[in-house]
Amino acid sequence: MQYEILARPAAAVAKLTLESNESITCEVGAMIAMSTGISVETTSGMKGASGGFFKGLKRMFSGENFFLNHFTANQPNQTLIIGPTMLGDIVHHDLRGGSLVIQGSSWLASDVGIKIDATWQGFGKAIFSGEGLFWVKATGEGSIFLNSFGAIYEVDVDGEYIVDTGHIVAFEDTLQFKIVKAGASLIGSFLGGEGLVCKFHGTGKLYCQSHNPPNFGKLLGPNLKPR
Amino acid sequence: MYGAEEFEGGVFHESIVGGRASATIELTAGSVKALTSTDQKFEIRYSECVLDMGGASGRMVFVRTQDRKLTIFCEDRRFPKALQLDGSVELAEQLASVRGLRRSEAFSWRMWLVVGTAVCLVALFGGYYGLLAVAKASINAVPISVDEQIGKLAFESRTVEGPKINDPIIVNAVKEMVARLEPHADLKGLSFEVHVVNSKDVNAYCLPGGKIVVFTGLLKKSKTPEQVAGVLSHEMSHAIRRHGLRRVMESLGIVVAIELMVGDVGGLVALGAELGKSAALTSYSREAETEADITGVRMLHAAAIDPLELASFFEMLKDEGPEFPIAIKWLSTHPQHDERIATIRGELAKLPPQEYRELDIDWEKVQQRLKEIDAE
Repeated sequence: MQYEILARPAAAVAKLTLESNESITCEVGAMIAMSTGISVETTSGMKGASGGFFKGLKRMFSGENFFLNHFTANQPNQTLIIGPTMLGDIVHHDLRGGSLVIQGSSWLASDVGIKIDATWQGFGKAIFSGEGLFWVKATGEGSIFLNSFGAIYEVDVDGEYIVDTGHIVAFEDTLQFKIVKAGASLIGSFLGGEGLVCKFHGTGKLYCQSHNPPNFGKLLGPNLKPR
Repeated sequence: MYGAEEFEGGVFHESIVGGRASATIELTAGSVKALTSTDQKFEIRYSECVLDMGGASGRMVFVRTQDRKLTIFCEDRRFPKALQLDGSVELAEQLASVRGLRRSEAFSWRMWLVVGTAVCLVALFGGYYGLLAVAKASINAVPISVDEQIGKLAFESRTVEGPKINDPIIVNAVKEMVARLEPHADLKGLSFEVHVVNSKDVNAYCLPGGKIVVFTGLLKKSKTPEQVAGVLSHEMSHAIRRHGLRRVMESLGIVVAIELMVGDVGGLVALGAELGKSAALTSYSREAETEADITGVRMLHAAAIDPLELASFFEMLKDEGPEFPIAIKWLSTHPQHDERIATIRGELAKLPPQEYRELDIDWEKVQQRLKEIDAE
């Protein structure tokens, strides 16, 4: 599979070129356009596997869809264009064993061999991280496409690193984060507009997004006229 | 047992494409060895190991060189145990301190969670009962017109227990009793309205706002008009003490409490009218019944009607009770009459002596009219 990410970073879409019998698993509704030699299979689990009902339910809790779409090329050199709902960037991550923990709605697509599941990060993080209650956990080897609200920037963490709540896209399983206050005093942290932040610890790749959907909503909401 | 176990994990090193690769980890006599999926071999001697724990799951073990250039990591639950057994003493100590640190962090999180939950629960329950208490206290601030509205809607919507009696002799007799009692009601602004209903039930009730309904069964059963006045004084006391409003409050609790706080009585009236369709609005708690007895006795005393007539009415019903198990509805909603007779006598004893005057009612004539109506 070849990939090309177009129109970055504001309105990115991923153009994938599939050879015969190559497949990719995508988020429901991600397909924008495709060649005629591609077939679509919809399941609640991994491609070709039976069951997956509970996995589907868990995925729903993490902000993803109950179903997954598997696109398979029946002919050589087939093009599939996929994109996210929100305006923003797409990034390709090469998963080499282990897993990638992805924020609720940031998973866009991945190789069929990668298992997509939901994971719980604990109460404190569920309440204060500004992300969903559950996270998507992608395990295996292959390509993953992530999407963000705004631009994505990548950080190789070795030691500690701080990200504001609501700006995490994904992080490798070798990283762990804790919710801490931004400043020395809790009141100062909130007055400064930063409040609580996520402090990462460990070694691994971290993807952050430049914008944060809840804050954007808060800014926009009061200016909308009631229907 | 060296080399007996292999674990799935990974390696971070700059020589690996992308910096990271999955690996098979082995614990040997002097070092931790890793063979990556890219066929690269790495090794860290136990004496050079720096340990850390973390990862997304919180239980991933990192084995690093002092300069952090090479990291071997593993999430396998058996790995820390094997490392403790196979590695050096220093390593075992390092591992124990790292694990201890993680545990105390996890414990402090749990502590915060438990304390936080407890505080939330206390605030929730405290707030709920506090609000109810404030709402109960603020009942007196609700205008009488709300009682009147509830009473009016309830009266219009409920099925009347029998045909209305308009006979002036009977109605005026009841009105005379109410007229004697009314000036002694200690709630100003309440005006009572009398309705007599033809029903063999020995019953009477007063809706919020002062609508009194008297059943002919009660009039027939009573030996004297003072006994009826005694029952009426008790029922009027429910309206005076605003027990109906309290009943509505208890039924809807917090919602009405909040509405009252913001000065909205619409919900109160609507629910009152709804409760009024059934007997729910006129069935009160035992505390309310006792309060109505005491208020009734004071009113009778002030109106110069002998309160003992009410006690004698109870005694009469008590004696005849078993013969009229269904008909005496008033008693079924007013239990424990022995206790109540005692309450009446006890309250009366506290009051100054009073010269009682009989009611200006020709009771024989009333009884005669009741018989004639039955014969019609």
